[in-house]
Amino acid sequence: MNLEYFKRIQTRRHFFQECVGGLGAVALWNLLEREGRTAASVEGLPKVNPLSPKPPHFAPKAKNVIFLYMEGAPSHIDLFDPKPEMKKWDGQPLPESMTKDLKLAFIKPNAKVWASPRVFQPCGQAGMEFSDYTPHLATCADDICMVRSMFTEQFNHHPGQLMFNCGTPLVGRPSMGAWVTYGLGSESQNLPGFVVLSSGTGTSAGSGNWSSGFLPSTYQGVTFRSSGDPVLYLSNPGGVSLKSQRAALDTIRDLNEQSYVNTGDLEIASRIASYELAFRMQAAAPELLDFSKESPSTLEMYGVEKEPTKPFATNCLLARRMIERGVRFVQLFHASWDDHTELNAHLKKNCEITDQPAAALLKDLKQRGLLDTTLVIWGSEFGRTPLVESRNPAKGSEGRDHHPFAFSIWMAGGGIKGGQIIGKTDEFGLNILEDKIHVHDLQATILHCLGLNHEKLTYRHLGRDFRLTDVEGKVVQRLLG
Amino acid sequence: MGTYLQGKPEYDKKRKALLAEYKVPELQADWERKTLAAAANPGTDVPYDVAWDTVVKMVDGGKEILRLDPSQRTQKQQEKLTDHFVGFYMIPVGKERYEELKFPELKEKLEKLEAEYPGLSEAQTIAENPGSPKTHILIRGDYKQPGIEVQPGPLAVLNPLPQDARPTRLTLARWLVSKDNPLTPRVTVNRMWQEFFGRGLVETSEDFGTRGEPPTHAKLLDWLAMEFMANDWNVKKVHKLIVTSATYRQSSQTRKVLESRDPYNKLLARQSRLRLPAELVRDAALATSGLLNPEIGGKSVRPPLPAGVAELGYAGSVKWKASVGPDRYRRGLYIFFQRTTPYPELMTFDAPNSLLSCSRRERSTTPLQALNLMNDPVFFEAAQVLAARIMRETPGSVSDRIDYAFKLCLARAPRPQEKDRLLNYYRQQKEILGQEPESIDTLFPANNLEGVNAAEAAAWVGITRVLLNLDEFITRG
Repeated sequence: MNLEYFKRIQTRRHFFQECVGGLGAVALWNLLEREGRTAASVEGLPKVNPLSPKPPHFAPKAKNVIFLYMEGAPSHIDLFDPKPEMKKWDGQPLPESMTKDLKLAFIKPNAKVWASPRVFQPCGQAGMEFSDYTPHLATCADDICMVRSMFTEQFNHHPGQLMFNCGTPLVGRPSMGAWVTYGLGSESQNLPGFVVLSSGTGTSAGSGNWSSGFLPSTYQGVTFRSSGDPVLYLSNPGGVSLKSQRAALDTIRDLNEQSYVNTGDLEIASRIASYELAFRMQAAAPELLDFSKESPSTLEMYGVEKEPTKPFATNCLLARRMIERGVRFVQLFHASWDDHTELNAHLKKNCEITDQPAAALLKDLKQRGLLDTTLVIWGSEFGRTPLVESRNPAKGSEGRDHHPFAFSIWMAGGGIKGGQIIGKTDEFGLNILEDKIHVHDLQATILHCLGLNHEKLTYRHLGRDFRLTDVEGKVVQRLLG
Repeated sequence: MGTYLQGKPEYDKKRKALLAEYKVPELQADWERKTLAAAANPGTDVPYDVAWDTVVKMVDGGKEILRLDPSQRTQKQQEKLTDHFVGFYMIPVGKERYEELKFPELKEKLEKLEAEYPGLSEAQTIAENPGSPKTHILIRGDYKQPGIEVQPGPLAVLNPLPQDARPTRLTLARWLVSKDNPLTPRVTVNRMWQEFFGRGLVETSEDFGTRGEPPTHAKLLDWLAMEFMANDWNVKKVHKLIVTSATYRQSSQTRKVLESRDPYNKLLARQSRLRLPAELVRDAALATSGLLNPEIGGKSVRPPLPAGVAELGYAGSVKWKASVGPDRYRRGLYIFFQRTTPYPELMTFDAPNSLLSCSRRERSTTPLQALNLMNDPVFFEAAQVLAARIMRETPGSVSDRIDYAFKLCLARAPRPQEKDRLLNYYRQQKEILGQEPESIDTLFPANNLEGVNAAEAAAWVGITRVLLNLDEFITRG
């Protein structure tokens, strides 16, 4: 190493150390950044960041994604796809012509029809119906694209979730967020590109839902936690102050730089960059979680400060703040909507938790001009049967079984045409009559909104080029704005 | 007589008494009758429909066992069914009744009783199925769309099965290791090569087919394969052959001329620097500090997990009971692999998710790895214990101690610049600790080393933490 260089950084280092005591980590970082004292200081040592932004395949409408994943399969016929005709059939089995080939997870095809007790209102210019359990979402009807004709082949949760998030019921494949960050990198300089937030009881596919599969682990979803460190191991161990941490990092960096001089291994540049990014993350994550600069009206709109909305509202507000800071893909998991029993009570509870924050998220993104570039998706692995599941004869214990043949999701924002209803199911919500959309089609459409061609976003593994949509999927033009 | 058989009569007696105490024989008979009735007339008794479904899905051979007259069942079949009954009687009768019958308590007692007696050790064995099921091509891989029926046999491009051989598993095994089949030893030695050089002679170690990469050194691969077979498939001999070779023993330092001519070092004009695999990153820190428990074999261990990790599993179903004592410091390969919430350090350092077969691992470099090495209590504890070790084992000057620490962590002496930098950092640490004296006890809590100044020890924790975070520490040079 060049002696002049070494002397120069030593003095500058000294200067920074003098400053640190009175400055927060962010300010310190900005100072370091401005001084250009980053990883690229040794001659020939490249500045690397595997997550630096990459160009899309074509001009995108959306830059970021917020995916509200409602684990466990919410009932489409009680929320978004009203079936008034069912009242006539309430308590009777379906006509035999409809149940001939019907195979369900737990109940028998001769189970009785259970008409939804919910009351629906047409809303917005399209007359989009919402049930009385989601009064807040109802006010967003003109921004929402309601899709009532989704289907999948998977009728159990774990494979269904993997299908929805990873494009295959098999375990071990990369998730949508991993594919997107692999394809586009991230705009954020100090936060992960793909973040996962969780509320409720945990999901049956667990971390498979945000796995990087066979892609490098750089692209895996990073879980922001609701208690303890927001990111695992973010805080320094006890006794290590900010000043002490910076001194340690400087020493690590200098020794790593010498290692580079001695070996010429470019991987060391990545190692040095990763420590600097980790340090920036230590400063940025607490700032991200600090809601003190949010206005009281914003906090109130989301329901951050009251139960039962608090956990989900916190995650929705965090999602917006992450998007503002350049995070590419934020996925919220809320579990569980798997209402085999007591559907009415459970659905009410989940709607009370999620309805207000989800609607607030749409409104907040819109008022900040972020909705045009942010794709918001609300969905789950499948829907629920129009037939009753009664594990217990007591009144109010009625539930519904898994239903992969037709279910509803909604989307809004970047690239999507709001205020429209796509698809039509029969009078029971049992089968799709118009505009069948497979999960792979939805995935192709999501990638399209981000400027990615789902057939070109591939990764070679085990001797073949894999992609999110496997060998299928068509972009659904009607969804696009 | 083995321990299992010796204890069995007493165990059986106690189990029977327990079951009788909780009226299991009567209740189970009633449950069996109703479940069978539901199976015969689905839709008439929904709770028992579910009970039947659960027996079918959850008990191995459950359908057949339940249909057998109890007098016809083997003891093992009966026990299996009774265990299921005790565990799942709640399904038809509801939680309230289940608890009123004190079944949760019974379940606990049965489990405790079982744990008190030696278990039956089972050896897995394979027997040929006399009526082999028909195998079809599945159209687009869909098991619901069978195509034409197919017969077993090797790929057409490979060597054929011996004439007149019946296509059994034994024939396949013999074919795999036959002298006429070079593929098996090639694939095997290639995977060994990959571990020593970071890249196989065929880079796509999982794929020697038309979509795989051609070998960089085809003759070498063939020769190694032949040596492997000639040495009676002795793995250690191939390892020795490789590690004593001139190619393996080269320095990993790059030269400008190589960077432009062979940037990925495919031609092996030098050795490669390789980041250690996830398990070994942890092992290295534990071993250097002296914490590592080198015990071989036995059950998987569960090192402590940070709060909130196991909770991401389904509906609180993941019970991660942290190991205590020396089990916490077992090697990384013994860490229990919880599929839905794997041990974070393993995932962060590119361990495969254990769901798909994996012949080679990715090596990524991420900020989460930096956070993991700096702040995970496992690594911080290793730094603390390593600092104590250095203080204890080298009574000399700071300079001597740096030499020793370097030797422990990097197996070499520090270069003058490196030593200067660490001395500089040491002085800086002391200065910081002078301003933050409250940190000293937290950094080095168990200061019972004679003649050791607490502030000095705490400053040393800083140094060991730096050393355990160096690229060189987690890299095979």
